[in-house]
Amino acid sequence: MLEVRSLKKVYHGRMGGVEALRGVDFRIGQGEIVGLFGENGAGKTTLLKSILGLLSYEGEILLDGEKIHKGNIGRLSFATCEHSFFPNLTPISHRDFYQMHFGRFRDKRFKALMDFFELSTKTAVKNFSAGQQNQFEVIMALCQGADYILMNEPFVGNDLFNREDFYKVLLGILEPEETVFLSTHLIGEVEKFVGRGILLQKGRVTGDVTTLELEEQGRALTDYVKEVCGYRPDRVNRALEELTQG
Amino acid sequence: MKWEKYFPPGYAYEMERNGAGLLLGLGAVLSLSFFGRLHSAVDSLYEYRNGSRVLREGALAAPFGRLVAEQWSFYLPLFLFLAVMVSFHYLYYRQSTKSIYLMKRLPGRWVLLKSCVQGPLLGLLAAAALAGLLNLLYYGSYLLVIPGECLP
Repeated sequence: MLEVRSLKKVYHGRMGGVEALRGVDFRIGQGEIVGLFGENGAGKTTLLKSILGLLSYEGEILLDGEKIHKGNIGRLSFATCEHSFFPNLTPISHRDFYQMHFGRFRDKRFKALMDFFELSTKTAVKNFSAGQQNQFEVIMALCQGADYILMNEPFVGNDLFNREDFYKVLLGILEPEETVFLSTHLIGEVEKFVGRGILLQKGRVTGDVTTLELEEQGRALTDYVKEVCGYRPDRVNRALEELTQG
Repeated sequence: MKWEKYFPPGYAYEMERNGAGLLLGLGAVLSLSFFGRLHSAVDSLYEYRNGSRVLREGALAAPFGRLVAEQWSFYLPLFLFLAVMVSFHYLYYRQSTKSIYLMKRLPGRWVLLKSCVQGPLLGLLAAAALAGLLNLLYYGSYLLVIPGECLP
């Protein structure tokens, strides 16, 4: 169980502090696939980085009741659109590096995914296309042997077919105890993939719903998010009318 | 020798290694100026009488420690270079990708620090070893050329 309690994060700058997270609370059970949604600047990246211990914060983040420390950090992996691989290394060298540091590295899965996405294991990752680099980033997060796989917009730059492939592969290979916490703007695309959605707005959780609940209500996740966010579909039309009338 | 294990993963260490080697060599060459100081120290023990060079009565040579006191300063450029390299190694993890995220979440407590300081530390050890060897050579030369009765 990943538990976030009263999480607050303030970025201090010359112009004063900016509150990125204003008391975030939620729990994610092992085996869940959870989408994290919200506008730009809602605090999604800050939340993920706080969980990973990459940022200082106020509040508590617990993994099975324990604070996250060097002893259990290996249970978390991270794929980010900023990429966290070493560009000059080949995938094989990455595998060696991960195996050296993460005792539960999934070598069989690594080989299978590299084959499936037809990625060369002997080419430096910097020579991959942007889409291939994203694939590789996600592959390493999936193969680390973590129980909780955190992803931050991992498919930015990948084409639709490629993303579809990834969702299918992901659903196919994940083991029951593996948890995915995926931050993305592609709500409609991941709707069939996630079992639950957490909505973040201005540093606060404003929505937390399972896709089962939505199904029972006959609503789509995208509509739910729009509703909670107070999205006004007529806004664009009105603006256009105003612009064209003048 | 597998140099890469002393540097951050994927780091192009060759230029840095060669630069450090060059500065180490420069330090060693400059330290050879010891022989100039030794020559002066030996000279000061003698005087000329009737055109011949004779040992001054009760003359004492400058202590060896004083002759080598400034040796370390010849390696100063190397030390500065190595210090800058430590921060370069850290910054490497933020260049083009954010591999710093991976390094910071490794279970090994000292992996990130080690990857930043190991290479420069190796340079420091090499400098210490070379300076030590040279000092041995200098000490041997000192004992060889300073007359026994003039040793402090």
